[in-house]
Amino acid sequence: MADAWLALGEGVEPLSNAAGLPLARTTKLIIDPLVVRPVQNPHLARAQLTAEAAVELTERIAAAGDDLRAAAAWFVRMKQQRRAREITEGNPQEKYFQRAYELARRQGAPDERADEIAGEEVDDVHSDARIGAADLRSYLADPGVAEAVAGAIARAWAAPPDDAAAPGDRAPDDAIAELLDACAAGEGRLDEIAAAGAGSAVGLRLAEAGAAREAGLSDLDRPAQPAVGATASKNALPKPFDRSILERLFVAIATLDIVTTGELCALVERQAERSAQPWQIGGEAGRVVLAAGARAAAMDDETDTSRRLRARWQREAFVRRAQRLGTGAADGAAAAFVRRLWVRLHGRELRDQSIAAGDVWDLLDGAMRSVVLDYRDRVKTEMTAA
Amino acid sequence: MSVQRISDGWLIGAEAEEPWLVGVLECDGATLWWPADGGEPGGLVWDAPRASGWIDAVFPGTVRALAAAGALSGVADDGGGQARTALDGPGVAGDSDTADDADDAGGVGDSSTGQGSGAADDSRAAEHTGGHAEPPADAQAETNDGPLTAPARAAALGAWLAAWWPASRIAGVAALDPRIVAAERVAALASLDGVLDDDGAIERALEDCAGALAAVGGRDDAGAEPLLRRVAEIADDYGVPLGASAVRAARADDYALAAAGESGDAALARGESRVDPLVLPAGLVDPAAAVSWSVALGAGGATLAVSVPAAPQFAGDEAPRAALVALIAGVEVPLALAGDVWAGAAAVPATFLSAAAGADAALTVAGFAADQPESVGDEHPADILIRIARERLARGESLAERLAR
Repeated sequence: MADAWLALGEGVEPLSNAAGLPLARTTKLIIDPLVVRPVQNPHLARAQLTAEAAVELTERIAAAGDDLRAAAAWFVRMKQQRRAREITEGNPQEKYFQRAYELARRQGAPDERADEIAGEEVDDVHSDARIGAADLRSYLADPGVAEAVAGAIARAWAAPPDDAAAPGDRAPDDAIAELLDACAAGEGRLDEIAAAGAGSAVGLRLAEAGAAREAGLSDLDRPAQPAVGATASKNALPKPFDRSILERLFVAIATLDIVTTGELCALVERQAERSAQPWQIGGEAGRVVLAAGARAAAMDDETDTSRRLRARWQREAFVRRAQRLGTGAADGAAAAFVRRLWVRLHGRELRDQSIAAGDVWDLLDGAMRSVVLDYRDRVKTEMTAA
Repeated sequence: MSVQRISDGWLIGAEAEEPWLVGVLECDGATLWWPADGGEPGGLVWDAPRASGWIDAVFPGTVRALAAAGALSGVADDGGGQARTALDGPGVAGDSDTADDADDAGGVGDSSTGQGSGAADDSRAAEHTGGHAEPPADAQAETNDGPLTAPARAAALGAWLAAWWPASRIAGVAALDPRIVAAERVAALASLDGVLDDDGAIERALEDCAGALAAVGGRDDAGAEPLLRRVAEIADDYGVPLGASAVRAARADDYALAAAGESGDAALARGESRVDPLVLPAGLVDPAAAVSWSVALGAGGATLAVSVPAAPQFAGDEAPRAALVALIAGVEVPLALAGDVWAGAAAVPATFLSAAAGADAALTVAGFAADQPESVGDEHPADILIRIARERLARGESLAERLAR
């Protein structure tokens, strides 16, 4: 991918770093989802491509060259318009990259009307028309709505779980272990494992007394139906399974491009349904990844992934010492990791992002990285709390 | 770059020294280090396919060497027997499970062999790298720099400066300007976007820089202006407000000698021990100083008084806060910062005098778990840091160091 990007030559500098390689968000927001499209093309998402796949990837990026150069030009225009409007909110790459690429696809390279168009796009990104946390809160506060949502939750929880695996059936665990041995190479039969319902089978065990608590997903002995919720605070969120519908949605909603009440209603309904499903996640691929994460969180010797996650903590001792942060223990890291993974998978589901086999290792590694960085911040805070 | 199979990945270049003697940069798939004394860099490649996208821009020729060594083939070829990690220098905390590495040295590689025939994978790797899979023995490092060598080195050593710079009144090592240290790190990291392990590393560095600017104020001298303008652009690019635009001329810290420990005439016992900077967070205590203690008898009984000179701060910067405690013969004495000195006192029983004879005074900070003594040679760690700092000042590799000369 790096070689293919370098081969694009001039015109993509705004999307590239000092060595001409793609920026982190260029890869995350443009190349992966819009050019490579790993869900449709899993063979292009493997850590190590076959010769044929490497050729195909190179051709794909080269074929998108004009779009990418135009997107780079649109991004520069959008940044100019942002500056002209004295907007400082949000990361411009995060907010504009995908818009710039869409503009490039729609309009080609910027022309004489470009500033106007880029300005409208920036206005749209920063407009208040989108439904946010406050709108969600007041929507759910309506007694009629709250009653309807509570009814939807109750109906979802009353329905029997679909085709649970027989207790004691180790097949789902074997499939998960196999995925954990293969995913770092961008491989593994995620689709087959999901089709067999392995994620659900493992997830249903969380209904047993104490299981969800042990996994770090609840403080309750058995997960209970979520409340609709009237208040939510980022700094005082309960464990994932103990969160109200409001608490599950209010952080993500601002990023979801929801404009109409109909869309909002559908979002809340889906959330009510999801809360009764295994892992409280709607998609089977996400449940498989959670089951895999919960298994790998042991950081034992059993799978390639669990060894790799453990290796990250071993590196962390060295890095923290080099940063003069003391060493510190990783107590509770496994549960924190499963929670972080849940939040990320839930977020992907809200954004309708599907999961390819090539995403599994990045999701697991990314969630653990995030936990490691949180622990680092906590050590910093403790050190200076005189 | 030489490449060597180890239990948790591939060691490239020089092995890591003690963690307090290297600047570390966490990249996507590899952790790299540069010794603060200017020695040879190295790294641990823990995900070779990921690292292969950028590592040649930092260490040219590494992808070819990794491929030749089999790191990009999914096949372990280490011939077994290597049971250590790259980072298990004596300074690394010995978690109980790191001891298990001896058992899984081959396991990491073995576990990925099931993905297809080794021969097919080898040929893929060869094709991927343009057919240059040479025997490992020939895969020598190329010594020329890549386009990201300088920023990677600057980011890594910038982290070392922020953590381990031994500012000392006693040794005459000036404090570095925290704004410049942070700003140089921001500029270096921004060049490395797409290469870093943490996608938020640049934002984090910008927040550190904003914190330093808020604490010390702005700086408008000609030497720092291009750097600070560049950082302002980066802040704009990443949507992190830098805040403090207040312009204030910076003044080098003066070197007034710290007040020595109280020398009460009535001391029944006294002692002093050198500060060990390795067990303390940055910026608290003068690393060249000694912890002094004395016991005096007063109306209320015996009192143990402890003092130690504080580290000099950059002009206008606040001293970091920490719960610093001195430990002498089993007695803990909390210390408070008063001017240039940390000092405190505690009542002790009369029996303390016999226990304290010849006792060492150690400093600790709650929350800073330096859980084992680090192995050092005959040279005191503070002396090592100060020697490196003086050499670095003479070289003047970074703007922060040049401004501190």
